[in-house]
Amino acid sequence: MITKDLQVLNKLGLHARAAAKLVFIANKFVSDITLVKDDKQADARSIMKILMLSASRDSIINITVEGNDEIQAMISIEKLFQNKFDEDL
Amino acid sequence: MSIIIKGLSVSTGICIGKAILISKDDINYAPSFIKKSQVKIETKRFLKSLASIKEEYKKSKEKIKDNLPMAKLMDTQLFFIEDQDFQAHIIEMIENNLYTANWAIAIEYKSIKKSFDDIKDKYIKERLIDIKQMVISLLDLLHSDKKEDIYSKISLENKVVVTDEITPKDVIDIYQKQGSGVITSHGSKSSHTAILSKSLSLPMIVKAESSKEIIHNNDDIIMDLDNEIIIVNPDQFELEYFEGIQSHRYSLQKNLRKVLKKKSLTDDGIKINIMSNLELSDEVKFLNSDCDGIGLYRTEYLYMNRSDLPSEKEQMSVYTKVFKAMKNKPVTLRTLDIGSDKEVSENIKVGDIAKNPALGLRGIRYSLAEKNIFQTQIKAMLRAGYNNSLRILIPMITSLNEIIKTKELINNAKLELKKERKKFTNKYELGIMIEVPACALQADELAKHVDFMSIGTNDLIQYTLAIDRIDDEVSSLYDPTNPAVLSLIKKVIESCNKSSIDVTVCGEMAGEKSYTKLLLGLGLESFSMHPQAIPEVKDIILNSNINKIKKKVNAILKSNDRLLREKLISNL
Repeated sequence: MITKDLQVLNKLGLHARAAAKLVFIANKFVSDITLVKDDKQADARSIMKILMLSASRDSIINITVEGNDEIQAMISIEKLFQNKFDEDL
Repeated sequence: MSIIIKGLSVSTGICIGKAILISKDDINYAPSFIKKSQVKIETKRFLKSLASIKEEYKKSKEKIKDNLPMAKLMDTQLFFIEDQDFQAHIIEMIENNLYTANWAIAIEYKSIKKSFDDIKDKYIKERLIDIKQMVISLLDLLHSDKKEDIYSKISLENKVVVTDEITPKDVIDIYQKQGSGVITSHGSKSSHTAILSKSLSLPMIVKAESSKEIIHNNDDIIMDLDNEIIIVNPDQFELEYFEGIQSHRYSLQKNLRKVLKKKSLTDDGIKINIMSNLELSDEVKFLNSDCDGIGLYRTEYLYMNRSDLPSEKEQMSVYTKVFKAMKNKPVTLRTLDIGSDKEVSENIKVGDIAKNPALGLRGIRYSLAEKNIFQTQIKAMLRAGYNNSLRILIPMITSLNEIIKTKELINNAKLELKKERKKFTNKYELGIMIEVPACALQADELAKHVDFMSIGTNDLIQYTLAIDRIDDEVSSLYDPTNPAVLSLIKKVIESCNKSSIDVTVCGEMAGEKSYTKLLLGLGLESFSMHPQAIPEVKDIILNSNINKIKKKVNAILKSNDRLLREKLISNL
């Protein structure tokens, strides 16, 4: 199990399209991926739950990955966050 | 006893009818259960409807695969349908609580909605609409007897629709079903929905707060648009009084029709062009043949109420119909203007990411980004314009560069038509909408590059004063007579006169009879307005002496007091 705090850097926050990208990446792996912000928790495979986190710009999300490919999964997710979900280019 | 509700009128007149309440939130939360033996069937029914929605979305995505931003948007929609959490919760409720799929979906939506209510980020919050649309389509599939549209299954004749909020699509539906009037508890007078209903002469009162709580189905309703009030369950006396006014207005209108037959010359003999705006091609049938042409045909309604894009052929046949109905008079076709508050159904969505769609990818900006959609439209216009008097109008121009790029695309369209050996016109006029102050300030220069200009006052006012006309909190600050606005209009008219090109006002102001003399005083000689406004405006024009008015206009431009300005304007 790995866990890490990642910051939302893109201007619009974790909105629908950014969330869709996260779901897309999560679906590539078998590990369980959970996002926690404040008192709310979301499965990275549920776009609705991700939106409900209401993660605007600069908010910190705690990510936990558990499973056979957890290392690769975490690397991919970190990259997505760092690249601001490929927005604000 | 009768009750009076206040609101804001979109047009004038009296409307009498029976109330019909339409709840937009039409998800049925009534409990319904299945037997234990039906769990498997019910789960299957649910999964099957999910699968068919997925299929539908995939099909529409296939149709628009060349339009990358749109295709990406459909991807996001697909993720909603595939949401594991959503599926799991519903199946759980079917299995453990023996809920019907319908009820389980309704309950799940309710809980999603509750979570979204707490979301502060406005942009994320708005995505609830996408989820709701999916939920409604799911429920529709589950009740196979239920049709897609709320307005399609009920009779609206002699009915006044009472609802929270209304979209341009709803207005079209209500109009086509011959509804008498519309009352909404939210909204604004100058939204496109309001303009549309005004143009269709569909009486509408917006911002009638608590109307949904006070009015019941089948209540008798009088909408007094002149006094901006709604009378619920009027007594005999009130009813007779308003029926009297209604018939009086009817005879007045008959007299105004005589005005239409007269030449549109002012009292001092200056010819004024009076053209008509057109929203729906079907409306052209109702147009009075005495107007001087179509000053603005908003083509975006061709793109509404459907999930695909209109083809070149389809557009051409619609435009041809308009040309035919107008005989040899000029017809101004405005290219697709989407974005801002104009909601176009699933086929096109702009401003999805934009927090401020009014400043986003709209009008020509969208067309230059989606060249294929634009070229298809231009080709259809050029073909329909063959042997006709075609004027192409480009919305939301901000800079000369955009005009140059637009001309390149038009040339490409012509080259393609040549290659395809299609007949098309080379004798058309190209014009631009003046909506952005930047454009008005550069009018001298831009006038050298176009054949005409058309001032869209609503957006020009909105952008000049930084007032969102839909925002109830600031809509009272929306002031068409603000000196900054008036001097921009004056400047554009003067620039066009210098270059000897036509200039028209096609925004709301052109059809507002209280501003007719003011516009004449600013030097305007061409108006385009919704057809219902023509008789009254023309009557004023016929009785105006432009030379006299012009002498008084400077005082209005110099006055910083809104009340004083309005007084001076009414004394023109």
